[in-house]
Amino acid sequence: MLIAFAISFSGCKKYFDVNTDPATPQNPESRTLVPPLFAQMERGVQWDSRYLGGTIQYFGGAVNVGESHGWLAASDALGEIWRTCYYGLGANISLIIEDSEKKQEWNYVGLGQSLRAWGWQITTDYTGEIIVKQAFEPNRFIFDYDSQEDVYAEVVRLANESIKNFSRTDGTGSVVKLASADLVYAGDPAKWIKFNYGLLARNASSTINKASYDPQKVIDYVDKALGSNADNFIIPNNGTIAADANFFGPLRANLASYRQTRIIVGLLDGTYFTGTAGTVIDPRRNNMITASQDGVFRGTNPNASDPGTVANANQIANPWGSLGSANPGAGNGKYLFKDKAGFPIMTYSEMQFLKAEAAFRKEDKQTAYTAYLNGISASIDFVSALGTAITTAEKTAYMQSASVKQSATDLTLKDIMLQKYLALYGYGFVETWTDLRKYNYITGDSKGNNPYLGTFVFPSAFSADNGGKPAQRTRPRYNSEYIWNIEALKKIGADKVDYHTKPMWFSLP
Amino acid sequence: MKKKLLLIFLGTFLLLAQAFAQQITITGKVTSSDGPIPGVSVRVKGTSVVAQTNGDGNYSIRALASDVLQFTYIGYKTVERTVGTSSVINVSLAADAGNLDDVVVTAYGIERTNRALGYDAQSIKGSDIASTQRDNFINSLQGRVAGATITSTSGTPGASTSIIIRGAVSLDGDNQPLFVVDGLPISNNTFSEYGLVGQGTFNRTNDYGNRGMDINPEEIETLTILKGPEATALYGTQGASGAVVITTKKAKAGTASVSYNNSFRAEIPYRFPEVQTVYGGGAGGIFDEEVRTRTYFGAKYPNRFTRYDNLDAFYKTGWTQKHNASIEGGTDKLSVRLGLSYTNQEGVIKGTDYNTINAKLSGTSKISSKISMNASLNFISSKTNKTYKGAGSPMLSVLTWPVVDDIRNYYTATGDRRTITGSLSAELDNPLWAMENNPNWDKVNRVISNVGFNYRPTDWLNFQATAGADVYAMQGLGAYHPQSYNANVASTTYGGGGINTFNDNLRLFNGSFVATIKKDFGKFKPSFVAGYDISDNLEEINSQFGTKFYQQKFYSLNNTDPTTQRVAYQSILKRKMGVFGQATLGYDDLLFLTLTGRQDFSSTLPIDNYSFFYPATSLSFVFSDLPAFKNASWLSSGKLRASWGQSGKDAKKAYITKTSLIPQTTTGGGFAVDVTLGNPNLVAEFTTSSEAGIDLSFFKNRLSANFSYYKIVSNGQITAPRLSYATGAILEYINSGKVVNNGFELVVKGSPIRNKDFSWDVTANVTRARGKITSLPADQQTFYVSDTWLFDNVRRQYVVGSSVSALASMEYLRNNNGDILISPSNGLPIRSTEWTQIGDTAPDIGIGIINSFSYKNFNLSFLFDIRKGGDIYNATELYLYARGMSKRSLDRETPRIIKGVLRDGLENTATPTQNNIVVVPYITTSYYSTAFNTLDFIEKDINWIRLKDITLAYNLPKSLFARTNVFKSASVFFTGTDLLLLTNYKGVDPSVNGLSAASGGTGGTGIDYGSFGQPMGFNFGLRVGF
Repeated sequence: MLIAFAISFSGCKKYFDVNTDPATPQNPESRTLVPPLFAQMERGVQWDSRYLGGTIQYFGGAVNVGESHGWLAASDALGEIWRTCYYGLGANISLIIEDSEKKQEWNYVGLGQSLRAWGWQITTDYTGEIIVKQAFEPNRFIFDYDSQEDVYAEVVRLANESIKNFSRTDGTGSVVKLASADLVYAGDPAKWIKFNYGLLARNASSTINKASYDPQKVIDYVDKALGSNADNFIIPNNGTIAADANFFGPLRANLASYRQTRIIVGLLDGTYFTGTAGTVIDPRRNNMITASQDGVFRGTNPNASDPGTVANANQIANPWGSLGSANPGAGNGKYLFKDKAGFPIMTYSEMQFLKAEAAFRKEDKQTAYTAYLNGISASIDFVSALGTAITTAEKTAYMQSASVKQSATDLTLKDIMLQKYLALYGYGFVETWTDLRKYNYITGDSKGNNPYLGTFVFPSAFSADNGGKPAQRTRPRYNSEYIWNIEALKKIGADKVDYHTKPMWFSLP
Repeated sequence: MKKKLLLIFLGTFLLLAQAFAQQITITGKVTSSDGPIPGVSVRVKGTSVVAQTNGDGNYSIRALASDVLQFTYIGYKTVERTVGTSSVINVSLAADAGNLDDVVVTAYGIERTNRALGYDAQSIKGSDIASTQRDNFINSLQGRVAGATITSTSGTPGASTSIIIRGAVSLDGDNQPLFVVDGLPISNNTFSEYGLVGQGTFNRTNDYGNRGMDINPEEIETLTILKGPEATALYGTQGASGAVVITTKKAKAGTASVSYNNSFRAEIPYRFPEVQTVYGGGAGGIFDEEVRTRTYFGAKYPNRFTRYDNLDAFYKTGWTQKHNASIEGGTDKLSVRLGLSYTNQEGVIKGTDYNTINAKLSGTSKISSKISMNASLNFISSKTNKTYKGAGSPMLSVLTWPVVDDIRNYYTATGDRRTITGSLSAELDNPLWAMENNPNWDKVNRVISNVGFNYRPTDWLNFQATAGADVYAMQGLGAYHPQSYNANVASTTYGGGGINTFNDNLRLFNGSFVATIKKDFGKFKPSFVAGYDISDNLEEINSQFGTKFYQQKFYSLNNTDPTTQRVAYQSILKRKMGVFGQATLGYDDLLFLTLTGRQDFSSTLPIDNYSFFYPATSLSFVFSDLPAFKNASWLSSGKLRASWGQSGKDAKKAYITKTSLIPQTTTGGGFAVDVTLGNPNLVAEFTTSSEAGIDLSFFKNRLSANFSYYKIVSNGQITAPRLSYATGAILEYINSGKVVNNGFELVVKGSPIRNKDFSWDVTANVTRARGKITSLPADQQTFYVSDTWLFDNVRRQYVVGSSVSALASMEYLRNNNGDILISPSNGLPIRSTEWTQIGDTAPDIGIGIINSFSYKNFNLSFLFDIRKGGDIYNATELYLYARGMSKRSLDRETPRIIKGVLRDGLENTATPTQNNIVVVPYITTSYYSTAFNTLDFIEKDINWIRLKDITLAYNLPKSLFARTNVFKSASVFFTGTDLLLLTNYKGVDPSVNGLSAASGGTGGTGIDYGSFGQPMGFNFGLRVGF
């Protein structure tokens, strides 16, 4: 009998080693983990744009506290980028890097590093101090915050690591192996390297107020970054069912009550470039926004609802082009606000404007001017593909119009920043906010540049908690940090009621 | 591994080559003052040879002349007789209120005398359980057992019932005890909606029955609740929350005896939420003449409107019939028993019913004087048609149906769903329409088998091997008609009508092997138990989901749009094994020391930490046998006992040592990490319990008392708290948190009157269980169970110092002085967005009082269940209040100024502005709909007294049927269940669960949201023996 016991124990360990789920995979494979990362990136930006879009005045209609620069207590609203960074990408990227390092799939490792760099960059630009050094550390339950400066440095490190990994030719990570999972660049390492340089360019250009700011660095990065619209980082959306449709499309039905804004209308009809409304009609206008029933293009003022009183006359359209908060139905919509529209994370146009701004600040006006023209031209081509095609004649007419400066000497920083603002409409939410904040909205930067003055206006009143100050940051996600990491939060002052008006590190000299 | 197991069993039987000895057959009759006693165990002392008396009290057993026969029956004094030369031994047993020589069935069917037990174990006779006529027998235990808290999910047929022994220990995990039938664990699963295709209402709106209810109460011989540390240490990880040990009726030898009983029950609902019938539909005091709203803030109904009793139309009288039959007989070498049961229950809600067939065949065979075997096979088939509960349920709908509209008109002329508002998506389904058009059922086919071998080579050595399987296939369907609210509301997942189905296949293999050595050395009476057990549990769930029905009112997945169809699959394998040893060192029947140790192995822990050991010990001291007390006539017996033990728990869930990857439906598909991170560093969690108690009986056992005090400390729980997302996910499995439970149990039994014709026995069971959380997972400040967040902002939330049944909510904002802050814009209070602790649903004390009287041929017994304290969240009332249907909103025309200060910036200065804004709720309806104070609906300190059951039975005098040879005995009975409920609770029934028994922690206990109370049940029936 005892012998029988002894025999049975020797095989025990094997008998009990059955704790792997046969129904749900638990052994990660980079190839299957990659596609959802893109959906998560898009999710973070688009969800939060419902509020941020109001703050930066891409969206109007006084739908929520975004337009009055406010915040929502005890709510996860405005915390989706946080979720994307730590959960949507979070452990998934760690698993990809771990798995692919083992398998020596350097391109997968590079992809993981690149998207993590993107995550840190957008989250810090959106939130300020975030958790980086202690993030994802096993057996840790309290996570300390890192300064934005440290986060910026980590982005640089990671992007460079990623470039190195995408440059490697050893290992087992072939283009073909990555292609099926890589919904954006189909495994093309050259494009990923460009994307990384794009991240570095963004990173280097945000710090204009800092002594360390080096415009040449931005120019160098841009020159290695996206080289044309073909290099644009665009996340595809199948748009067949709710789960795989663009969050901005009519199928998801999230934008019905938003309105197009005065500032976008004014940028597209020449008001803010020429000083007179209607002098130059931008060829992009019909693809990007919609006229009221009476044919007049209108937009809402900050934190004001649609003043249109007469149905089918002066009501202002929502981003889908429908009046009276109507949903045009699945498959419809316009510009980037369609079920099947891809969502841009980075465009060639944005890169050129980054270069134009840096060159301008470097007082290399000729370089700035060329980049400025490239940026506008690329944006027109980009918008053209999203609706009715813009003819070469229309484009040429615009390029030669009063809305576009005709010589390097006439170029102002305002021209660059407003064209960038317009080009990034509907996707570059955080990037545009960064621009607005680094120039301190309508106060100007430390050198006295004040490109948004006279164009961007604040709402008539800020949210009560703001103490009269505009929003400078969002809070870390409520259900992540305010309940489960409050001690660390208190150390950075995020428990204060006006924490969201505390200027960013990059805004300060 | 399995082969090795087989080897062990074979090895056991190779040792069977032992000679048979000279035996004789002894027969006899066992009686008491009330007549013959069926079911008395007649045991050849020191062996496993057991017979039972049949319906006439007759028995037959084979034994050696030198053997001693032991006659034991719960509630009676054990009698021993030496066989000698007599072949007929008749015995009369004396009733006993509490006897140290009672035999208690402990773990693995090990029978021990009460004397040796160092812990409390309370036993109940099966007939007491069966006579309550409960379909789910667990409901009969409330008040009958000290230390167990029983909560039925609802009063509808097939509802699940939760049982928690000595307080909940696990914050969010399973606190249900282990169910053991004839020595082997069986499944008491309640199907959890986490097994369905991605639905968000997890166990909130549906219930699937706890599978322990498949046990036929008529087949239970005895039931023992094992609560203490030492008791459960033997069952290891599975028994860490206690164990319900059931011994079923065994075949009795003799000529075939047949018994039959039936019961016919009428169920009548009798407690309803009250609704106002004064104010009609509309808003702001403006009456909607055509009544097109389901909110009632309009003017008073004009007199010309007819009022309808819609609740009455919704409910009906429920009818149940039950038939039980058994046949048994055979020789002492081989006897068989067949128990059959059929139940057909129609609930008090139209369309709800529960049908079950239960057949159990068992046999006992004596292969030799040393070897015996028993086997049983139990087949159960049941189907339950259910109603949804909670949010969107028929209950909430009937209460908010206009009282001036006849709820019975629920179809339009064209056969469509008739609505009040004219919109399919704007209002809940008419409840009668819903019961007809939104099917919701589950069915189960189950086989439980059990085979046991006993080999006793010598009188001091015994081997018992038991193996069995519990296999069931459960199938369920829940669907919404295309015209249902749930198929049309904006957030629906059931667009165009939808269906959710599942198949849940469970198979549980169990085996155990126990060797017992018992030898007396003079005054030293040691006994040793060594054994091991193994359990292999596989549950596989396939679930399917589809929407957009092609044909209306045809509920099959084949009728859904293929592009909407989704499936989910779960396969959960858990393997456990334990090796244990127990030594009981007895001295002179006076002092018993028991030492227990167990090494457990579990597949749900990381393979490097998969094995763990824990000890237990107990001491029993029968001080009444000391010379000082021996001659005290008032003291019949007295025992002091103490025990201490640990029990280790593995992870309740399989596969949590690694992170799961969840398929994604976003563009490009693929997988992403689950919201909960796995943890490869988990270790077993440990619970340390200590217990001390005293058992006393006085005046020749006419009065007895058992008292136990216990403390249970559970540390390093495996739980999944929410953490900072910086972990990489949203929750994570970790070992942490500490919960301390303590309490006491007191059982007092007395027999105030014991005459030839009249006797009166009374038992009181007193339970107190208090839990306190001394540290929360990851040292966080709060921990909440999101499934309990049923309605408005109330949920089970814990802070350090609270119990596992605490509730939290959001209160009104107040200034530093404690005044309520009032909004200057509307004069209404402002609700905080911070969670604060607001109550605890755990009662202070629970008392069950059982009285039984017998007078000649009449027997009357009844059980009062009394509870004091504990809060109940009356969410149903809040739901009505916010819609203007609550009677609490009848004073709506009275203008009022809410006492408080305006939040105008001066609220925290020395001179805050007192509120002076007059509010007339009649006009400002947000007074009810949004500015309510949730705390008003947390009903504090709820007490109740309920007449859980009452049975009056009359045994027909033998003379009536003495001349016919057909009947041997006959009795008729009446049993009433839940006939009376006295409570300060304003809602329907404070014994309520907002979730189901499938939920973790303390679940939705004490949360009353659209649930159905227990109806009154009137049972009539007869029992006959042939």
